[in-house]
Formats: sequence, C-alpha cells, structure tokens
Amino acid sequence: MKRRNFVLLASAGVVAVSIPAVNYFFYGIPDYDKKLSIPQLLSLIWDEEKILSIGAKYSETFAEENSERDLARALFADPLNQSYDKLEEMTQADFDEGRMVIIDGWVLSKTEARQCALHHLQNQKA
Amino acid sequence: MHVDARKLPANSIIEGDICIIGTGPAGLSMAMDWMNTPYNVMLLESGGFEYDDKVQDMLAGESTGQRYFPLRSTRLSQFGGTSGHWAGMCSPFDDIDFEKRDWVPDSEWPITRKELEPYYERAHQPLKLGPYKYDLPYWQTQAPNLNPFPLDEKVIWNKIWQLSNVAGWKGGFMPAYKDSIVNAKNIHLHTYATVVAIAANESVNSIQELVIKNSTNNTHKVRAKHFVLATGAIQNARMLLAANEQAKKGLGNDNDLVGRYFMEHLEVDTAEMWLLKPFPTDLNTFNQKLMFWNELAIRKEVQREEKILNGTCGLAPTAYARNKTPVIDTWQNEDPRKSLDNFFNSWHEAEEKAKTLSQGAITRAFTFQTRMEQSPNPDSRVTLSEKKDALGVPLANLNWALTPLDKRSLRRINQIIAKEVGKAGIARIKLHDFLVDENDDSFPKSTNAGWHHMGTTRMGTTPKEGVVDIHCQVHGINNLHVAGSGCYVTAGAPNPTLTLVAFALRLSDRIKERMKLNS
Repeated sequence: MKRRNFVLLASAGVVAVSIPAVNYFFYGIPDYDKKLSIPQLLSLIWDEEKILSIGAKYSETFAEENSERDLARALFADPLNQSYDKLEEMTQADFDEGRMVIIDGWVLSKTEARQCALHHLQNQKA
Repeated sequence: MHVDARKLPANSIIEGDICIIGTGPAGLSMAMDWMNTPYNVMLLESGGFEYDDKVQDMLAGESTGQRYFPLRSTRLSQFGGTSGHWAGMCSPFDDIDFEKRDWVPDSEWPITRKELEPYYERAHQPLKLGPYKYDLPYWQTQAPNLNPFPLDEKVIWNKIWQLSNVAGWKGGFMPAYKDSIVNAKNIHLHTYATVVAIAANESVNSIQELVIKNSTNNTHKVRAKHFVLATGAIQNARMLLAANEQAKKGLGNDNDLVGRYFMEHLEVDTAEMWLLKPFPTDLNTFNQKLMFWNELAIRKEVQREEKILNGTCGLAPTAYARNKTPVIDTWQNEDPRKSLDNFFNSWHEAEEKAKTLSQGAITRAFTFQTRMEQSPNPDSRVTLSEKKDALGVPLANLNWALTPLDKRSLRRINQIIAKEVGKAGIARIKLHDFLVDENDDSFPKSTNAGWHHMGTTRMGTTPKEGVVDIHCQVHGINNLHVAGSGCYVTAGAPNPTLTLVAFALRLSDRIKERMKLNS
C-alpha cells in the first residue's frame, strides 16, 4: 500500500472511530446503526412517511425523550447487542408486559414508537 | 285458523285459553309450541300479512338522549314481526351475563344461565338453526381452514354465531310459518287486531279482557285465562304504561320500573387491525355454507379483572368499512322499506369503493365492529308521549342513555385485543378517534345500535327489583306475562333473538304447567 493511501485510510478510520466516541463522550449518544431506527414490523404496514409522522407525534407527546441521546440510550443500552432481532425481542417484551403507548390511535410497543421518533429526529438532522 | 279482525261484527267477543299478543319471534315460537294441544290459542297481530303504512304508523315515536333510529322503522308491524328485517344472528348469552358483577349496577339476574340451557336447544327449532353447538372445535370438524388467530386463550376466545334460516333476508318468520299457523286447528290468528286497552279485575291482580280495535273503528274483546305480551320491549312497556285507568302508573308499574332500563347493543366500528403478514383462514367472515360467524371475545376472568362489560369484535375488511356510511345515518327514514333500501345502497357503494383499494397493506386490514352490551341504566327508558296513534293509544317516547362504563368498556375491549395481537406478533391496532381520549365519556352521533330493544320489563325476584318475576309473569298480576327481551336484566354481548325465544319457550312451559294444575 502506498503511504498516501494508507494515511487516508487511517485518517478515515480515526474519523470513523472518533465520531461515535465524540458522540458518546460529548453528547452521551451511544453508537448505533442508523438503519435500526426503522421499525421492521411497522414497515410491513406503513410507508416511511407514516413512520416519520408517528415519530414526530411521539416526540411531541413524550417531550422528555425528544432527543437522539435519550432515544438511542433507551433503544441501544447494550452496545454489544444491537440488532433487529434484539429490537423485536424488546418489542415483544413491551407487549407482554403492557408497555404500550397510543400514538394517533395506534397501539404500539414503547420500543417501536421510540424507533419511529428516533427515525424522525435523524430525518430532521439530515 | 285465520280471522281478519276488520271483518268481525262490532263488539265481538273472542275467547280462548291463552292469548298471545304479537307474532314476532317470541309470539310465534310460543304459539307453535301450543299447536296440537287441547288448548285454544288466540294469537293477535296488529298488522296483516303485508306491510301496511297505517298500521306501521302506530309504532312511531320520538327519541331523546343518544341519537337513535326512527322508532317507526326499527320494528315491523305485520305477521312475523320484526323478523322481517332481522339479520338472523344467533348465539347464546355467556355465563357471566347472568352472574353478579359488582362493577355493573343493577346487573344481577334472579336466574342462572343453566336454567335456560334446555330452552336454548329447543329454540333452535323455531329459529331453524343448525346443531346446538357453539364451540369452535366443533365447527372446525365441519370445514377446513377455520384457523383462529394465535392469541392467548386465557384472554381471547372465539365466540360463535349461527345464522338463522328464518332471518329477514330469507323472508323472516312469515313465509316459514304462515301456513302452519293458519292451518292449525287450535291456533286462532287474528290479524288487524291491535290491543288498545287491558282490563283487569277490581283488585288489579288478574286480567279479564283485552280491547282490540282496527281501522274500522269497531272494538272487540278478547278473553283468556292467560295473556302474553310479545310485541317487543318498546311496545310491551307502552301497553303496560297506557293501561293506566285502573292502575294510575300503568299495569305492573307500582314501583316505577316499567319502561326503565331500556338497553341496546352497541354495534360500533371501533378500531382497525392491520395484519403484519397475511393470515390464511376461513374464519372471521360470514360462512354461507355453514351459516356460521365468529367474533373475538374477552374471557370472563379478564372482564372481572378489568371491570368491563361483555363485548365482542367482529371483523370487516377495512377497505370496505372505511367507505361504509354508519348504519344510523343510512337508517333514518321513517319508512322501514326506504331505510332498508338506503342501507343496502350504502353497502353496495362501499363494496364498489373498496375495489379501488385492492393493493398494499390495506388488503390485510380489518375493522373491528364491537358488539357490546350497555350497562343497565334506569334513565334509559321508554315513556308515553302526549301524542296518540290513530286508535287513541299514546305513542312511545324513547330516551336512550349510555354511561361512562359503556364508553370505558368499549375502549378497554379494543385495547385488550390490541395488546394480545401485539403479544402474538400478528398485527397492530389503530383505535378510532372517539376512543383515544381516556377522559371522554361521550359517544359520537354515528354510534350504531342493533335495533335490539331490551330491558323495559326487567326480571326481578321482587316487585321492587323487576316488573316480571323469574317466570316472566308480571308481579302482582297472576295471568299477565311478558315474552321477549324486555325481560332481560342485562343485555349480554350477542344478539338477543335466540335468548328471547328460549325465554318464550320457558314461559310457554310454565303456563302449560299452570293450565294443567288448574284443570
């Protein structure tokens, strides 16, 4: 590998490692895969517009969670266990244990409603 | 035999052993139970064999309170009664419907479900139903693919209905029973025989005769050993209240109970269930071959825990339901025939519009029509109007009144199912707007009911608790009885006809026993 390429690659690696680190240490946002903010089960019945709209309404209703940090912490508490399977497991547990919210009439698990809200915030940032 | 009372000479006296007033499902089921007995049955019907606008006028009335259908068009005054526009849905009440429920005021029946059991089975005969089977496993042996949703059976169960072969869309009771009634030697059917007065003895503890009248203005008297009011919950109450010459408050009304506790079934679109994936099943839709229907019901243990009323959710494709005008809006014409036309037109329009929504997730969406009892409420009542019908009898007024318990129960039933389908991972549910605000006890104007009139002559052990006793005899009047859903203490979740016919047959047995003892 040429030295120039190596430096570029190494720099990109440093940035890639350092952004989550900065996010975590300065903003308290845990590292997570942004794709995981799309609730898989709900996307079987809703389009993205609907997910964003429910997310916005969740953020309005639960103003105390209206930040990427709070939502990501709630959804991705375990940095080593982040996956759709884990989120579906959390969703299932919400329904089993009665952790539901009603947003715009939809009876949702707290987890999937938070995913919608996180997706909405990401979309706003973008 | 059949007599057109318009052709009787003035002041005729008609005599028999038992007089049944009304030829709807209760009256006709009773009359047929007396066929080929040694007793003469006088069977009175206000109308004839065809719809008659002038007779139907006598069912008119005004409504206050929760918006309701025109009283004139929710019933039919002709042979066969309201079976002429009956959907034919039959299912027995549940055990809990008869049990004491502390959270439902005035809900305790003086009899148990078990006492009614043999009559339920007998009621299948006049209603032309299939085998007396209401459990899903039985029906699963009759047809493949009756797969229920994989829901927690401790919370949700599938309640079964059978569809009657004498429902309105098959012509009702008239084509099924006209000939056999007319040809029965001991049944004396009098059409155009409207009861305008009920005369008791001096101490008002026994009925001596009825006065009947029709458009000829001739009056006639009907005498019998026993009299059975079987004209529907509104008319029965109206007749008792209007019989106020000898009893100032009306017959059987010493304790101001006649007309009170009017109940309906709420039949309301309440939520949409969006299946995450297709779920192949032949359940949850009307099975025309088996004449069978099912709805999602809440276990009684859950009802107790949640302190809610009994109710079930039937499913209709959302693409259709979203385009359907609420029945209460389509059924506002005073003429039942026009209302029926409007109803079917709206149905067909919704079907056509639904065809444009044949793609995407909405094809897996179903709207819940929640069918629920209302809480017994003394302020929900039938009273007499100052206006009178053509024969001089005061018309009925209805004040239909719902309670916060009704609203909370409707909401919780849907929330409970929403949790269960979430637990099962099969669907998500969207509540309709009027159910979202937990502090809102009101019901929208579009709230539908089932034309199920119940509770105006409720059953009670003592006269202070009910108008009729446990045998459906009016308290204090030894030969006056009420057949029909007016005797219900609570409304149960399912449609009332099977249960009211069961009660009518039970009353029939009771009167036969008394006739035997007296002879």
